[in-house]
Amino acid sequence: MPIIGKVASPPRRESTSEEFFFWIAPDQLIEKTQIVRTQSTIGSQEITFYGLITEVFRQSRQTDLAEEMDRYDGDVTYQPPYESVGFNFAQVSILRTVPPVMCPPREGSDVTLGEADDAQKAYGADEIENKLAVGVVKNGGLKYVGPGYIDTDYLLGANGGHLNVNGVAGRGTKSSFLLHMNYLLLREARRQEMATPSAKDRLRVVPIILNVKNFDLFHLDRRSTRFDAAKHGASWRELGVEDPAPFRNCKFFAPQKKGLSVPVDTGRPTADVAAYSWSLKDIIGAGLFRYLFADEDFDNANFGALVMALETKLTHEGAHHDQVARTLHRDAPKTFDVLLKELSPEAEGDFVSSMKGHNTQTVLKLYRRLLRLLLEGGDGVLRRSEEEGKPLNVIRNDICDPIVIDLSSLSGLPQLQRFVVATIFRQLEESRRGSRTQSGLVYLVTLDELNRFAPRNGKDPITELIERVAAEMRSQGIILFGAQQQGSLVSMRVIENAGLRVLGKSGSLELDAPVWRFLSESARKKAATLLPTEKLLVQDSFREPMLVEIPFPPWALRAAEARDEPAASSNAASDPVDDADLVDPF
Amino acid sequence: MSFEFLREFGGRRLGQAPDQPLMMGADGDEPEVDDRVDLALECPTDEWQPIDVTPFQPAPEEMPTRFIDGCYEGETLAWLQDREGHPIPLRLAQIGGVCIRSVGRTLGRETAILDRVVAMIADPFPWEAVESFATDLAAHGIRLLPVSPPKISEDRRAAVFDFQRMHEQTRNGVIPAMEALEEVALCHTMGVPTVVDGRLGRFRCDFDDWDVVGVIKRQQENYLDAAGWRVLYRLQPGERTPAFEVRSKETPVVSWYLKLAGDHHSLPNWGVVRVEYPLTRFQRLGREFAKINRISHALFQIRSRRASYSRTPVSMEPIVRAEESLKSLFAPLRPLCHHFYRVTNL
Repeated sequence: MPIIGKVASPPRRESTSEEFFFWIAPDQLIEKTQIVRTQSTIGSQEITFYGLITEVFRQSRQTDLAEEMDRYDGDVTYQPPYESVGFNFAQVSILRTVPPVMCPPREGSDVTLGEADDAQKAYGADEIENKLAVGVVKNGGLKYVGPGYIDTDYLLGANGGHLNVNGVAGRGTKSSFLLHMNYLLLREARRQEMATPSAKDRLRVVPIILNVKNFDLFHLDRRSTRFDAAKHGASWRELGVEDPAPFRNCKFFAPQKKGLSVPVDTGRPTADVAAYSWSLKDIIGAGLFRYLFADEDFDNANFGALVMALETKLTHEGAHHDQVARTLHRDAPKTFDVLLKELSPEAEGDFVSSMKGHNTQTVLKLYRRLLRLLLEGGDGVLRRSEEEGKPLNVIRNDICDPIVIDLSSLSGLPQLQRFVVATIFRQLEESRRGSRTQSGLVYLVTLDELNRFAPRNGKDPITELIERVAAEMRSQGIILFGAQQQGSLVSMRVIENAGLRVLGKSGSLELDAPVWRFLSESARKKAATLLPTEKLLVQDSFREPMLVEIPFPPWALRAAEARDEPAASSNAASDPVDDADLVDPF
Repeated sequence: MSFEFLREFGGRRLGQAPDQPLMMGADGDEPEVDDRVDLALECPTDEWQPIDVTPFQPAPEEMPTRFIDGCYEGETLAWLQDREGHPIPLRLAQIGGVCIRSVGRTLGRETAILDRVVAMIADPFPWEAVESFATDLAAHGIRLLPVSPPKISEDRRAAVFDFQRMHEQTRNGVIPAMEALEEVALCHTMGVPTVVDGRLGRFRCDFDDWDVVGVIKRQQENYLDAAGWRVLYRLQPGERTPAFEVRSKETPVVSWYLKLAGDHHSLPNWGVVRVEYPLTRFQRLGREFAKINRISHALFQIRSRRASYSRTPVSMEPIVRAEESLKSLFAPLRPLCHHFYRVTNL
């Protein structure tokens, strides 16, 4: 590679073990975000430094603006006889030193532009055992320098877990990337399944994708009209994907329609989509009652105690294999309507009298909360008068194509949205306990708008549940693929526990928040100006975020861009999933 | 007397400005003209008037494209005594000559020659001892530069007990070595219009077929009579004095003063340079005074405009660049001195 400059370390621009400066040959176009390499012989040892250009500067020879003006005698039409003898220089953040010594490069060392091999070494890809190419490393504004690898041990549990994406709305920043990661991991799992079907340690993933906006994700199995294989195929091929295609065999779930047995209209044929709902019996059986009353109510200790007491009263616990089996108590109300009647102020009888230890006003408050919940969501997701619902079952025993669950049709009922999310995590949490745990199986739960489900400083059971998943469940194979517009509004535990953090274009105000202080000034500035296809990947082993371009997805991200009719139903409402894959969650 | 006095005698404001170099010989009541000078070369001295050169546009091939400068950084870092007890200073110096060349509107270094020397008045010491010292210095990349002792009479040089004089002699003794490097840089490419920082007479080159212009910033000799001085003080930027001839054994030249900068608040000698052009070349070209105007205009066009550079009013932009370029090749002097002390055990 040609030499593009020389390391310089004058006062105030000294080289350190973390950064150095170099002046740039006048005929070279060097850009911020390019990867460079330099070598120095120090103490008879040849040391190679790999770095990322964090800024490129231009300096003229003039000492102030007055001199700049003087060059032209203040006349904008005048051309001085000689060009300004200014020069460019670059600031470089050292990504890696080989061998791993902590010293600065010497001034005068040749600097060359990095190539694909250098980029991989710079980010330690040559030392990653389980690597996954997720994007094409950008080397300036227009150039690329091969695939950018992450270490899946930081994503799927060995060294860390969880993925968190931050970015402004409407630029394909978050959902697209989360789906991209699902796609790559699923593809890798399928590849390993084909190559070594009996290997115990092969990757096995179950993608669970929660749709939070406009049924957009209900078309993942349809080709995007915006995808052009000729134009977009090259970057996929860089990742080793020769035939990018939409997801296949997705299972779609949507809330049950009020008063009916079919799901709400999702834009897909009804036969493609399975309805989900819960009766009182289902909720008690799954231990979900407390999650109906999340949010601010749980800040009140009396109210929380009453909900727990009521749940206990409604529950009968027995043993089932090595696990606790919950059922609705035989003396308990059989439906929500009956329960509501029993809790009403006018009610008399054994059930109400058993609540006497609690403040009457608190009982009344519980009644009002339940009434409101049932009036708003009753006979839909919550079946008021039916003893049986169609509860979601996301538990599988092996690799599975995406399970897409709609939350967007509950957008007017945030409490119910949160309840559905809680049921999923609770189900996964339960499934990872006891002898029925499917060893090696990894659930990838994709959830956008984390700020609604695990808000910062939230104390409610759902926030605590998600925090627990983020902090403790990675080793159990529950991986949260979360996203939000503003990480500063999301629980710190959730953000901090993400082994892979990704930034799409983010607001500059957001980037000033403490949660992003770990980023360098340069990275923060870059994050504020990223293109829709660009992402900054932050993995613990990276000294600076890796700037990658994410290939354009071949799947539709909304109905309007879906090319084909939905694939023939493999997901009839009457037979929503392949029974062979299903595992009884409780 | 009222303030009418000021008006009567041309009183004018003077802005704050650094002192300009003294013109040696200009401190007498009546300047004495050097007898080597013919002031009437262009016109009789009583007809001298400032000449505006700005209407005389140089042809592209007349624009200078090479610019020569030399640099010298040194420190007297030790002294010894000869057998008679004369103080002998040792001066460590870095010297260099550089040529900056313009290609289009871009200035780049054509060549640079550097040397690292220890200057010393060597005559009082035995030849073998001096040779041994030179060999030891050479092992460390330093050249011994023998300097002549000061003149003690018209035809005799010898060491003296006045340390300051010995020191001055040693310091100035390095300058010819620097000028030799400038000459190497100058002659690196011949035949191209060239501007040299300083007098042309320092070089032994043949300038007959070559447009070489010397620009002298520090005026150390008086070439003008009283009328000439009056004209010089009336110069406005872009004006010159009439040309005059300076005869010398080495390189006789046509010379004139050119004002590059200054306004009505500046010192009267602010921004004035003396320009030299080889007389033989001037004569060969038919004594064309319009050529002098065009050269002057070219120099005026490439004058430095850097307020932060102390000698900007009398500098050419490419020469400033040449100086920067050359100095950047010098090592810091202090560490060199310490290195010298370490290797010499002084």
